[in-house]
Amino acid sequence: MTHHDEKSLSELERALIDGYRSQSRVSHAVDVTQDVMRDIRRSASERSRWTPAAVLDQLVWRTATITAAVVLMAVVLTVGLWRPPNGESPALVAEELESVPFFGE
Amino acid sequence: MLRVRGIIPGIHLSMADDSLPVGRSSREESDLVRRIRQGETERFAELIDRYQRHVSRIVGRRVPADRVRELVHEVFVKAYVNLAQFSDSVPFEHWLAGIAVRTCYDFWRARAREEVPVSALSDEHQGWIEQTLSSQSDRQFRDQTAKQEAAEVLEWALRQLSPENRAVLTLVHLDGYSVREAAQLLGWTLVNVKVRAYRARQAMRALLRHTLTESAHDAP
Repeated sequence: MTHHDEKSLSELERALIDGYRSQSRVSHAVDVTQDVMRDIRRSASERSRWTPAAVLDQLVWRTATITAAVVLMAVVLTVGLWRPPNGESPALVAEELESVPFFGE
Repeated sequence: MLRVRGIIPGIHLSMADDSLPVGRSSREESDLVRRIRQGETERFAELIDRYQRHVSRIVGRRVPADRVRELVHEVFVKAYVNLAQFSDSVPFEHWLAGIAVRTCYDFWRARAREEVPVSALSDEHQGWIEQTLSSQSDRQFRDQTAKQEAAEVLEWALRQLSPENRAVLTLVHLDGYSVREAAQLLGWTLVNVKVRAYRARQAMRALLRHTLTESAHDAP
């Protein structure tokens, strides 16, 4: 490459750098404050749902609900087993039937 | 105004950025960051208001205009998410600039994976190169460089570089950051940036040389 070509190359390089710098002065006025803060608030509220206190709170409530349900079922079953039946028991009925003579006897 | 000598001999590149707030004490800023970390989330808006112009300028130089807003938004969300990693040993604006530079680098890496073909320079751009090189005076030269074609030819050349070369070339040769500053911004080693900066410039010069040779052949 000749000296002339090298000079042209350097000139072009300088022109591009100058062009870049003059374009850089153009302001890109953007206002992202509202959008960014909205995203941050959203992520913060999502995160707050999973803080240790919140997790413990949820755990306590769930455990309490399940325990209450189990206790309720146990009570229902216990009451159902130990409750005396309505009317006479099958054994008594059978005894009464046996003691009554059949027709013709 | 802080001025540093760029790597290209004879060219002085300004590092001044009037988007930076002047006279802010780092202690005040550290205190603000500490309060945000402690739960005063709403005060992050103060940091956005203070630095969005600065970040927009960094991003605006590196990505297409229609993507600037989206990436500035991304930079601030990343800054908030990583606020715990911010150390008082560096000014907040430098830390934020690093996030902005790396976000733009990631943007071009994603673009490179898409493998968008780069078209050849148009006749208008070839014409701009010829007119620029035949400028008779400094004023004529400056008028040429202020034209939109200058930015378009540069963008055409940058698109043909790898994302790594593009990032380094933009920081070191165009913005005028020192190799050390560029390494800090990109989070790369000093040697890596030094080697990349050299290779990137060689790649850019090879491209421009090829363009000049072609335009010389096309000339009647």
